[in-house]
Amino acid sequence: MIRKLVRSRFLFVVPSLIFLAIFVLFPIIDIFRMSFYQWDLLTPPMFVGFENFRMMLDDKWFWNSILVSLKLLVVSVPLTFFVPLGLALALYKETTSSKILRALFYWPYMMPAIAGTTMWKWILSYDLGILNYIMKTLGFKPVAWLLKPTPALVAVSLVRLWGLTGLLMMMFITGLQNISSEYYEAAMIDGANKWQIFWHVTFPLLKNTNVLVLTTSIAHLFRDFAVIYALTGGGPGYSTMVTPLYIYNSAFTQFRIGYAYAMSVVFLLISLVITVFSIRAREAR
Amino acid sequence: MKRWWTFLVVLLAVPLVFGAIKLTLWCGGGTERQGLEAAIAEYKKIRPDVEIELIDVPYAQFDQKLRLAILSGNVPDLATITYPYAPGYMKYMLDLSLYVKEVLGITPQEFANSMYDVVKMRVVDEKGAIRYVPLHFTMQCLWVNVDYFKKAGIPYPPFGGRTEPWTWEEFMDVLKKVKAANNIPYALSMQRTAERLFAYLAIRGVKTLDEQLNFTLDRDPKAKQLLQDFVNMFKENIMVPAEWIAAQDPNMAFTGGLTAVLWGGSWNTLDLLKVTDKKFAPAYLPKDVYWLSLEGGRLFGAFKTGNKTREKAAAEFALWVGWKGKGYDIYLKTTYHMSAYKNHRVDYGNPIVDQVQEVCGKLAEATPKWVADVRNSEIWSRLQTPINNQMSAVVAGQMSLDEALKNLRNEYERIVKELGGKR
Repeated sequence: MIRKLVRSRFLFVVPSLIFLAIFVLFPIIDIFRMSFYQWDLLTPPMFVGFENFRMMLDDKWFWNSILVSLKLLVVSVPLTFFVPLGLALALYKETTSSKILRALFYWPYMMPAIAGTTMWKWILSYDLGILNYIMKTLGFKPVAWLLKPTPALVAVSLVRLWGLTGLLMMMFITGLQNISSEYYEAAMIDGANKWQIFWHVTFPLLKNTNVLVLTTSIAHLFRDFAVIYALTGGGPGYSTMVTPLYIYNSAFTQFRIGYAYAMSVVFLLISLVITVFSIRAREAR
Repeated sequence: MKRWWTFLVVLLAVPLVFGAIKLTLWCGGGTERQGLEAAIAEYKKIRPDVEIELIDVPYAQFDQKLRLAILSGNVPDLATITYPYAPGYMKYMLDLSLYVKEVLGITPQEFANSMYDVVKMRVVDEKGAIRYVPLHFTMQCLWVNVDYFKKAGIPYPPFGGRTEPWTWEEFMDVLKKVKAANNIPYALSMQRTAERLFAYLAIRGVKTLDEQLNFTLDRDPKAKQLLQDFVNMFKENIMVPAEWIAAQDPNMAFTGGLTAVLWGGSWNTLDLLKVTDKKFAPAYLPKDVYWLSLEGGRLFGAFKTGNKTREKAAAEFALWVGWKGKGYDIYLKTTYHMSAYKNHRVDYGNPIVDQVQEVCGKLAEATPKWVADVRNSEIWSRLQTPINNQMSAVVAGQMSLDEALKNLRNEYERIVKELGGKR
């Protein structure tokens, strides 16, 4: 039996499975269980049935946060897909300058998100930020980056892009370097121009990388908390209040832990649907 | 062989009998840590048998970590506790009154009575047990840019040529004149907190929660008018919109010279003293229907851990560090915070800090009891974030005042329901 197990190589996966079960599976199951309780972290949890889910239906700020998350998905995910792709195409060849530039683009990803975002908060400040100072010096009107809903959403997307570009660009570079040069040679012999080569050779051959980048970008967006927490705090008003931040506030400023669990369950299901849909749509191309 | 065994037993027993009592202390880092480090270094000379390990817990995570520690039964021996959260933790803290006589040589009553009333009611529970000692005590006050006021030729109270506090109307007039005289974009900086809004409304005679902890803002016609006045201050560029819409640090605009007045408090002292190219001075908050300020800061207490030796050592240290003339003075001189004890003069060696102590001491004495009563409730502690968010949305023009008040009413009722009553 043991010999059979070893031969099937299943035994080698067991430690990882145990790790996953303890730190991933059980907590997820517990999220579902605790969503039926009212709990403030101090008094014992109290079973309330579907009360948390019923309250969620009436909670307009929760649904607003879902809408904000979806808006950010529409603005941010294409940005975090195409900008890193463009950079990867420019920098995937092994030259000294491309290596230096890759390191520079990767550097923001290594910075603690709170530190990097706080820096951006100063840069984008309406009255005191260097960006508006430059704009005023050049004769332009200052932009209320963090004071109006749409600019705030754009600012969040740009800061996210700044933080994520390095990682996603490196994924694309790995994908590009794995494409055999024979494909390009064949295309050139057939008389394809640069755009045709990209669209008919490079892009289809990056299929797996595209799915990986897309999934990573969506996953980052759905669990992103630090950037918005530090940059806008969900404001102005509730215009950048994404669901993870709303859940955090409910859990740790209002101590509605059971309610936060219930919202997490719903958000987890919505995120799953969107991720599966995006991957399917990408794979169908 | 037997001798070896005896030697081994003695070797193991020595550290147990004569070893130091190790205590863990959770603090919020920054100046709080520096103050505690200075006090611990001095305490070590008196009690070399007690070792205190300081652990920084970031402010934003402090409350959740403490709750999880209580939940897991693995609490620190000592911890600093922020004012709004203090009522919730009282039942987990040691009763320090059992140790007061032994450590300080005074009665628990004398100990409690020596504090400002607004502090006393925070540290003593309903049964009369002393659950905390004061650590840093803060009061809201104004800070003025001395040069801007000089240029405008306007005196400010009490150290700028005027003794009496401004009325609200006078205050508004002063802000407009100083702004115009110095050609600055705004006049007043104020952090986005429900506590500032509470103080603004209370000074002008409106209670956010009444003494029975009823939410009254949506039922008091004056409240709506005052809230509208508040929002108008942003529209008229008296206040800085970014501070209430994007939670911009008010120190930035004030120290950057964009505003002439900061509605801050005694806790700003250390930061403002670091600015060398400008002169700032503390001033009274305006006096209208009421004259008041809001207290805050950190309390300090010892947790019930079940280990009697550690509990005793922790209680002794807590009382030592929280009592005037002992560790408390070391802490205050390091952090430039003001004393929570009446008639307790600390020699900070800096005239501005002495002024802060005088201004804030006067405001602490003037503050009516209901202000602290209301704010010492769990309802208030949980209503603060919704007030911040709703008012921020109103200032941003994303929501009407009526809608915000309706949302706050719903939130209030939900909190009361969750708490099972008004407490």
